Amino acid sequence: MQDSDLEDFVSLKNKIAVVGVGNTAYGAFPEEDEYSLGAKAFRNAIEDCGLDKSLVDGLLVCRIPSYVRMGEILRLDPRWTITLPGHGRMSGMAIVDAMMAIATGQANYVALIYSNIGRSRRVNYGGDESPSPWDPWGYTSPGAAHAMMFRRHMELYGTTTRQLAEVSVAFRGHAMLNPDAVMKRPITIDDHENARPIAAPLRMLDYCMINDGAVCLILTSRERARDLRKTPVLISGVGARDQFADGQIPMFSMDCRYAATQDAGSQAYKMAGMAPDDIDALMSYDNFSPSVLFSLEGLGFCNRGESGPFVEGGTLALGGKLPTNTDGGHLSCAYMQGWALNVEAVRQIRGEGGERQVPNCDVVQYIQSTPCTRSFIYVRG
Amino acid sequence: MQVCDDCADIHFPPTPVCPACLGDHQSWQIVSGDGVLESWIDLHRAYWPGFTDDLPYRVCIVKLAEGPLLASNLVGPSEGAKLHAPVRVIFEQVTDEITLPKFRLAGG
Ligand SMILES: [Zn+2]
Repeated sequence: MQDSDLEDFVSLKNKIAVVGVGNTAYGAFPEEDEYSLGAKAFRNAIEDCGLDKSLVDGLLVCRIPSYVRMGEILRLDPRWTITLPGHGRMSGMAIVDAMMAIATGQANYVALIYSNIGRSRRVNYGGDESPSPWDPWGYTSPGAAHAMMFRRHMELYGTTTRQLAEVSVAFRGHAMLNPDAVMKRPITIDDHENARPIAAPLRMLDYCMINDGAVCLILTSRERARDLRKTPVLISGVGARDQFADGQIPMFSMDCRYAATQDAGSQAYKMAGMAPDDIDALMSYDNFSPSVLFSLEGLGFCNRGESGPFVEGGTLALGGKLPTNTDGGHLSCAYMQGWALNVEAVRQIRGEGGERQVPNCDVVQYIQSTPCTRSFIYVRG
Repeated sequence: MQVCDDCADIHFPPTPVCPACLGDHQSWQIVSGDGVLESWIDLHRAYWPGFTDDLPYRVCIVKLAEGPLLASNLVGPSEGAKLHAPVRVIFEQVTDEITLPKFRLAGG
């Protein structure tokens, strides 16, 4: 597979650093737009790393209509600019793109800015906003696709909704320790069981929220990172696998994304020289709670089909075997489409988790089991 | 279902070229209407007003005997629904111009 004339991507192990992270408050902000939120997140990330903003020469915007307007507002003239759509999988793709830009000298300091005003603009994720060939049968929404996958998991492996509830309950517990999180009312497994069904077997507490907010990450090379304010967090492993060929039913995957997640995870572990046992905390894209179970199996934290028993008894909670989504995740902190989970990975490795800090947290993995599956392994620089 | 005249790949929804061989020559083929149940859910939220009176309604994913996956509705008695249960098509006339294929458990 390798072309000997080209550099191996694996040679980027530990060479690219996340140096600055920033976010806005999360909630409903009808008076804000993508640019005002994005600018505030950028300002926070610049303050976080102490970088002179005139040195930012790479700009990636996601879910923001105009990169030109964003650059104007921040008074930037980059050498490298990219726009990505507001799909819940672009955070992973964006970070890989930024790594390549830095590694090839196209930019020295890349700012990645994500902004979301879906809450105050009442974005629906279903119906006429996301038309598909299956609308005449009333089959719509990403939640329905995840309900279909979870039903298969129940049928194939005997997984129960009480086991699924462990995911939502653990993340809510984390959100209660996170000042930025939106959802702070404590919940129990019984609350999950009694919640309003949306696409049964999934209920309200299996669904992520929709809210406004913005996130910014600033990446540079390991060498340049040494001159900045905070301990750099290095990207040690990267894995990727897209799944379009069997996408006739949007967001649905017959194998619950097992093969793609296993592939992306294996690439990341191999590049980092690590295994699931080395991971101190996991950040798992949780648009819907079943995605977390599927991620655990694909990455090999448990055997295929065994994620239900694996998560029982608080495995994913702080103090459990595998603290996961320590900021509360999409389910309880904020729907920042993977971006905030990457920020949380950085904060945990820096030891900035406050009440939700994982003790001795040296290695954090990010996984998005989505039609574009990506995984990163972060380590302290 | 759409079938490639050159390599016999069968697929749905239709594609402008054959996804397997990229050829231009494709035709439509009538299929058996038999399949197996791959999953099902009950929607309790109406994303279109027209579905409000049907709540909750049951949506299924069926793998046709010929291969392609379809999303549809599981109608009729469905207490015996389980993974890979055999299903058979029925045609429901919705308007004068629109008829939708739906599925019921075979023998049900
Ligand atoms: Zn063909």
